[in-house]
Amino acid sequence: MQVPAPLEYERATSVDHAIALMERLGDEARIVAGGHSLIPMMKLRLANPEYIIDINDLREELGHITITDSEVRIGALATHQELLESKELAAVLPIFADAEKVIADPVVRNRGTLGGSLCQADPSEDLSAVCDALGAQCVIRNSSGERVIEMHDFHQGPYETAVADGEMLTEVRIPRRPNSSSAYHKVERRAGDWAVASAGAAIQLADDGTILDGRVGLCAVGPNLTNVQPISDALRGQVPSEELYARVGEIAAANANPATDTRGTAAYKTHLAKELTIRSLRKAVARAQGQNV
Amino acid sequence: MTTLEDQASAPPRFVRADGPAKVTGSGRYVADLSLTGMLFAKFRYSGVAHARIRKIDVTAAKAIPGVFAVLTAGDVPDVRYSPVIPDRTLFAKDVVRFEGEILAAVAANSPAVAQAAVDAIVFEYDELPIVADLEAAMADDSPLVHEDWASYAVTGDTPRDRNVATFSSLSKGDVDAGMAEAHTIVKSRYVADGSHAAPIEPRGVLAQWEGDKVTIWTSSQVPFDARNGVCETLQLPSNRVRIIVPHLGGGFGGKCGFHFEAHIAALARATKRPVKLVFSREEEFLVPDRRRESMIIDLTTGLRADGSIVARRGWIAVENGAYTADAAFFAQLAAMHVAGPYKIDNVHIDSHLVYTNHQPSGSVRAPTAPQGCWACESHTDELAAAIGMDPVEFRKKNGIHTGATGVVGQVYDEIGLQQCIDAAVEQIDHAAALGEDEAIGLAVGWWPSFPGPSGAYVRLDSDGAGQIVTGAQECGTGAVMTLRQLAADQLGMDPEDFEIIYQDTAVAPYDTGATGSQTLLNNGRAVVDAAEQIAEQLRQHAADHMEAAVADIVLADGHAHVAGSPSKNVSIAELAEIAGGGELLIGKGSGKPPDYPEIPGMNCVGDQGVAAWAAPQFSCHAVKVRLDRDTGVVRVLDVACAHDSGTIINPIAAYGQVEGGVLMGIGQALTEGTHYGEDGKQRNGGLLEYKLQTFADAPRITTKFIQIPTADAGPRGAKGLAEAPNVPTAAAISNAIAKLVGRPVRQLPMTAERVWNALQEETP
Ligand SMILES: Cc1cc2nc3c(=O)[nH]c(=O)nc-3n(C[C@H](O)[C@H](O)[C@H](O)COP(=O)(O)OP(=O)(O)OC[C@H]3O[C@@H](n4cnc5c(N)ncnc54)[C@H](O)[C@@H]3O)c2cc1C
Repeated sequence: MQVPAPLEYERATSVDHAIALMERLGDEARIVAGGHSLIPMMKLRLANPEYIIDINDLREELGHITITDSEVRIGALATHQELLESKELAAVLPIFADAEKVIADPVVRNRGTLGGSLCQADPSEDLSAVCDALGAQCVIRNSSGERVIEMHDFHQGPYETAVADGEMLTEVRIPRRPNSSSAYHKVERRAGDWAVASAGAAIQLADDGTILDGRVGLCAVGPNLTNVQPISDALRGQVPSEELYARVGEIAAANANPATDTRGTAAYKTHLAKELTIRSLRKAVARAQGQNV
Repeated sequence: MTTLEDQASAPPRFVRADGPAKVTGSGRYVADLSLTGMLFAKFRYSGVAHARIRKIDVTAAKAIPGVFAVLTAGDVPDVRYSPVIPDRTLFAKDVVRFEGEILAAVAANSPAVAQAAVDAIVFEYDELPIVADLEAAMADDSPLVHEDWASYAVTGDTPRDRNVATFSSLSKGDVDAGMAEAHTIVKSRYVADGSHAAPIEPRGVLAQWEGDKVTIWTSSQVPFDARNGVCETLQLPSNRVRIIVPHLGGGFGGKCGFHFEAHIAALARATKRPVKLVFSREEEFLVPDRRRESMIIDLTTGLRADGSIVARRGWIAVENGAYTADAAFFAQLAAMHVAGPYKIDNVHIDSHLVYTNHQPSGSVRAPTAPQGCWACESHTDELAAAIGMDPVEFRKKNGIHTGATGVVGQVYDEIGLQQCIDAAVEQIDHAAALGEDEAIGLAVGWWPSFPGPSGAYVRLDSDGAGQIVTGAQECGTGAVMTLRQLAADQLGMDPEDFEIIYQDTAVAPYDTGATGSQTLLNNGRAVVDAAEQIAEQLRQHAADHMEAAVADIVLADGHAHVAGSPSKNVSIAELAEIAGGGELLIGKGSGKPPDYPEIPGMNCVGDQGVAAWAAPQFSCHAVKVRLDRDTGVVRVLDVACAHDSGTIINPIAAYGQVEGGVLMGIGQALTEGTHYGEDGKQRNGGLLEYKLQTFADAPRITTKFIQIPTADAGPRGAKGLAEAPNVPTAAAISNAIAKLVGRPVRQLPMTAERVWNALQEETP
C-alpha cells in the first residue's frame, strides 16, 4: 500500500534538541531531512518509524559548505542543489559537481541532502562513492559530544551506518591536498536515474608527476565497496598512463560484486566498473595536472 | 507544407480550452471526486501467473468492521466478454491466468480497511505450468493457457488453435517463385519486449446507483465501450448505465476498452452506497488488459539485382497475454507493418496472436506498429546494405507512391510517402555535421485511418454563445478541443465562442472514443455536419432580416453579410436572439463515414479488417544519435519528422502529437520494456524500474507536414495523427545504431547493455 503507517512528527529546533528527542524515543524515531529516501521507504512500509524528527529548520547549524586552506566542511543538511551550484566547491572538489549533475532531478535535488544520502547507505547512492573517493571523514554527534570516523568505517553494510540510536551525522570533512583533483562518471538508463554503475576517483600528484595518493569509490556494483585498498596500492607511486588506468580498471572490476537486476546483468555492470574507473582516473589526473576538463 | 519555423511565426489560432484547468490544478479527475457516504474499493489479485483455484474464502474479510461487501465470481452474472474472442470474466473462475487477475473486490469505509480485508482473503491454489515463451507456447506439447479455448463464442474470420488465439496471413503472388528469381536474399530475426502505456493518471472509477440506474465516473478513453462492457457483464440495457469521464490524465491506449467499471458498479449495488476505486501506480502497471505486446518477427526478403524487392516471407508471433481484450486484430495488423509500405509482388506472412500467462495485451498507441516497423525497417537497412545501395535511395525505389500497388494489392490514391522521405532527409541534413561516433538513421512508417460512426450536437443560444455536445473523448491529444475550431469555421465565428460538453454517454450521441486516431476524422465530420445545419438556419434568418437571397449570405467574423457588400451585415448574436424567440438553433450531426477501400482478389486468411486501409497515413523519421562505444549508451540528438496525415487543422495540437510520439518512441527504442521473472511476474512494474523518457532526455525535434488532399478522409481532408508519430522512431534509431555498431541490435528495447553486447559480437 502506498501510504505510510500513522506516526508522530516533531520539528527539531536545534541539533541538541534533535539528539535529545532521539535519545528519548530510541529506535522508534527517525530523522527526516529531505525525505526523498525515507518517505518512499515509509510508503512501501520498508521503514515504519513511530516518530519523525524533522531537522529541516537546522540549516544554520547544518547547512554550510565551508572551504578553508586545509579542508572542506559540508553540513549534513547541504542539499544536492547547493552542492551542484557551489562554484567554490567545484574549484577544489570538482567530483561533487560531476556527480550532482547526474543525480536525480531538480525536485529531488532541491530537498535531498548530503547527510540523508550518506545515512541512507543505499549501495547506489552516488554521494557515498564521492565521499569514498575523497576519503572523507564523518562527524557524528550524540548527547555526550562528537566523534569523527573515516568514511570506510561509516558504511557498515547496505542501509547500515555507524550512526547509533540517539546520534546524528552533522558534518562531512574532506582534507584539502595540494596537486589533487577528482572526477565522477556514471552510466544511468536515462537522465536523473540511479546508477547502473558509477565510479569516482580522487588523485594527488607528487611534484615529479607521479601519483602520491589515489582512491576510487564505486557505486551500485556491490555493498561495502568503500576504499578499495588494492586500487590505492596499485596507484601509489606510479606514473599516470592509460596502461595504469586499464590495470586499475581491472582491479575495480575484480572487486566489484554486482547483482543482476532490471538495471543490467552482473557482467555488464562489472564491465562498467572497469570502464568508469578508467574514465574517472583519466579525468582526475588531467585535472590535477591543471587541464580544464 | 508547414514547418516548425512557420509555426513559431504564425500566431496560435487558439489555446485549448482544457489547458488552463489542467496546468493550474483546478481540473478534476476521478480521484478528486467524492460523494456522500462513499466507500472505497480494493481488489484482491491472484498474485500468481497460472494456477487452479482450490478455494477463495472471504469469511474473515467480510467480518472486519467497516467492510460493506466482498464480491467474487458468484456474485455477478456468469458472462464471458471481450470483442471477437470472449475469453474473460469479471472475476477469476476456476483458473487464474496472470498475476493481476481479480479474485475479489472489497468495498469498505476507508482504503486502509479495504486493504485489510483484501489481505484477509484466503486464496488456496495449485500452481500450473507457466506459459511465457511465445515459440514454446505454440508447440504441440505446450500447456494451455485456456483449456476450454475451443468452446469460446468467437465471431468473425478467426482461425485459432490451442494457444494461438488468432491466426492471420497475408498472401500475394508466388513467394517461392519470387525467391528463386532473387539475386540477394537476406534473412533476419527481431525480438521485441512488451511495454506499457504508462499514463500519468492511475485510473479511477466511482459508481453510484439511483434506483435502477447507475452513473459511473471513470478514467476511460472510450466511454461508450465502457458503458457497453457494463451492460454486457451486468446485463443492463444501455440507457440505465451512464458513463461520465471528468478530465482524463492521459491514456495512450491503456485506457481503451472496458476495465473495472462493472466491478465497482457491482460493489455500489451490493452496498447501496457510492463506491470509489483509485489505482496505485503499481496496479496501473500490472492489472489493466492494455499493454504493448511483445513480438518475434522473422523476415526473409529477396532482391533483384537492381535493388527492387521481389519477394518477402514473414513469420510473426504477437503476445496476447492471458486474455484477448481487443487484440484479435493484432496478428493481421502486425503483418501489415512487417510487410511495410513497399511495392512487393510476392508476399506471404503468417502471423499468430499467442496466449501466455502474462498481462493481456491491448491497444496501446499504434498497436503492433512500432515493433513491426522496427523489424521491417531494420531489415530494410540490411537489404540496402546487402546490395550496397543507399538506404534513402532504396526506400524511394521500393516505397509505395501515388498509384502504386501495396502488399495486399491495394492501389493507393494520392499519398505522400515519397515526399515524407525527402522532407525528413532535408531536415536532418540541416542538423550540424556528424561528430565522432554519430550517425543518422531513417525509417518510414504507415498507419490506417479508421472511419466509423460518430455523432454530435451543436447549438447556438439566444445570446449567440455556442455549445458543442459530443460523444467524443479527449484523452489529451487536443482532438476534442479542435472541434471548436471546426464549428467556428463553419459558422464564421471564433473558437472561443463555443464551449464543449463531452464524455458523457447519457447526454451526447455515440462516438468510438479516443482510439484509433479517429476523433477528428469522425467526430469532426459530425460537428461540421451539425454546425452546417445551424449555418443554414442563420443564412435563412439573415436573408429575411436583410431582405437578400439566402444564396448570397456569407457567415464570417461573427456576422452574416451579403456577398460582395460586407457593410450590409447583421451580427450572428442578433440572429441568434431572433431565433431564440422561435425555432431554436440546434444542429445534430453524424455524416456518413467514408467507405473502406475494396481490394479485388485480396488474399487474407483470418481477416480482422485491418488490411485494406482507408486514408492511410505515412511518415518518415530521421534521427541523429551518438554512441558511447565503451558503455553502449546511445543518446538521441536530433529527430526530424515528416508526416502525411492529410490536412492539418490545428497545428499546435499536431506538433504536440508528433513530439509526444517521438519521445514515447525513444522510450520504446532505448529504455522501456517489461522484465519478467521465472514466476511469470513483472519485475519492473513501477516507475522506479520502468524507465520512461523525461524532458531532460528529449532531443531536438523538427516536424514537417506533407498536406496532400486525401479523398475519403475526415473534414477538409484530415486523416488521423495521434498514433502515426509513434510508429517509425524506434526503427530510425535502430538504423542509426546499426551504422555505428556494424549490425542491428536485434532486441527491443535497444538498451545500453544490448548495444554493448552487439558491439562485442565478432563481425562474421
Ligand atoms: C526520484 C528520485 C531519484 C533519485 N535519484 C538518485 C540518483 O540518481 N543518485 C543518488 O545518489 N540518489 C538518488 N536519489 C536519492 C536521493 O539522493 C536521496 O534520497 C536523498 O538525497 C537522501 O537525502 P534526504 O535528505 O532526502 O534523506 P531522507 O530521506 O530524509 O533520509 C534518509 C535516511 O537518512 C537518515 N538521515 C537523514 N539525515 C540524517 C542525519 N543528519 N543524521 C542521521 N541520519 C540521517 C534518515 O533518518 C533516513 O533513514 C533519488 C531519489 C529520488 C526520490
